[in-house]
Amino acid sequence: MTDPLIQLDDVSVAFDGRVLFQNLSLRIDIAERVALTGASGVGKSTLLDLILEQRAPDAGRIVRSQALSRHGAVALVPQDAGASLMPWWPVHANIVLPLRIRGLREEERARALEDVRLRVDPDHRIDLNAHVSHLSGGEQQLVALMRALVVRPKLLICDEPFSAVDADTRRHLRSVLVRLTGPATDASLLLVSHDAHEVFELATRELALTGTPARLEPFPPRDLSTQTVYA
Amino acid sequence: MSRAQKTLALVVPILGAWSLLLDTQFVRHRALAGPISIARALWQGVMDGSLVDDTLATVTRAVGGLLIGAAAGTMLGLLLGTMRERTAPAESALDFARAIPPALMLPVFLLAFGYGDLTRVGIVAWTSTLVLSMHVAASVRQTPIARLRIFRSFHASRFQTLRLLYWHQATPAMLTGLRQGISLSLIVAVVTEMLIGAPHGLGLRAVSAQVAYEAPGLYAVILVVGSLGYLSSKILLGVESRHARRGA
Repeated sequence: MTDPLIQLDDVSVAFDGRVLFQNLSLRIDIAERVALTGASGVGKSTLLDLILEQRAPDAGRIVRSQALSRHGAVALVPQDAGASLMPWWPVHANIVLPLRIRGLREEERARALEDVRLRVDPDHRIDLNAHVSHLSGGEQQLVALMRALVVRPKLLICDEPFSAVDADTRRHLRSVLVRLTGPATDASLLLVSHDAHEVFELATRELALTGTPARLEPFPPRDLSTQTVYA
Repeated sequence: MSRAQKTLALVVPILGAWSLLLDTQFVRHRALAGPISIARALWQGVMDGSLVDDTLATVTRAVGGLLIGAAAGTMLGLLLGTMRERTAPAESALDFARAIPPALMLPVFLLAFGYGDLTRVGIVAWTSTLVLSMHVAASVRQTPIARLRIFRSFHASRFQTLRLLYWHQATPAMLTGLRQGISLSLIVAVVTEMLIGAPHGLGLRAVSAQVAYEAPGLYAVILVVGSLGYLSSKILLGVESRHARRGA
């Protein structure tokens, strides 16, 4: 059995008088790819906020491994990737934002930018000097992904990454997520989606968040080697 | 016909008729002046330096007060915008303050600072603070939650969030506030000079012309103040549009 990267034990959260979670537990292991599905308003975003330390549970505990203790160990690609980018900066400045927050020097940021571009966009689809508002939805999604991956996170959270992109970008995103998370990189992936089929081939484990208060219903884990790996 | 030609075709006949009626003294009234006599008053004011001195004094007060007000208003707006829950009572107080005409605050400033430039500049700064704080606070509050979430997820400090997110978020609103503030600052500076006097200033010049029944001099002041307000507003509108294009 692998080590847990993060573990939520009997977590309870109430929101505006409504009990969202009661004694909810979740464990994500190192290098595991977990897909989380659920209807709108069931509490997926709140669950992400708990993992991102943007909200504390009303009861229960969240245990994080040592690997998650450094800044940038958990990175988010939000649902509305376009709105999450800073329109006053060009693409390159958006990508290195987390490194700027961490206080890295310009040369270090430039090196990291080149590195993440090589990993995510080797064909140079995106002009690094373009303004983000001039990019298509799919390109904005790729920029948001590069911004998340530039910190080499141990846990990458992607909130509906395929919802507003074309088929070509969708294939590319899937291929990047397969290559840059999982056993090869030791990075874990938490993929949130409305559509269970969409994420089925990416995830090693699938969870459905359902009911009120919401509960997690796990599916049996599958062997990664049986999955389709996108080129 | 170009736009300039159309404008000239409209303005020249009006000026001609105006001049014909008033500069020839066909129509005589103490509150009216013809364009030639106004131009003469402007020329005399420029040549003896008095109009330049008065303009500089008013502009210095207006711009000085605007800059102080812009700095204070921006800080206040950022504070109100980012800490909405905790600053709700302060916001109500500001809404109340905005409803008070600046001229009504003049006696308060007189009591506090006396008859000097501290009062003249202070009342302009007060007015600008209210305008800027309103624009900046509203803009900061409209920060998309997705952007804020990114800063939080990367554990950005308050200062980093302020410098890298809210400051940029509020810049267009600051420029709009400055554009509105410059016109307002000029108005308040001139009115203050008219009400409490000053060694130099366009407000004082306007009152002096009125007392001496010098209608051309009075219209010369109106022309200068109007031109200053129009030009400064146009310049700031240009800056605002350029900034909007850069961010688009």
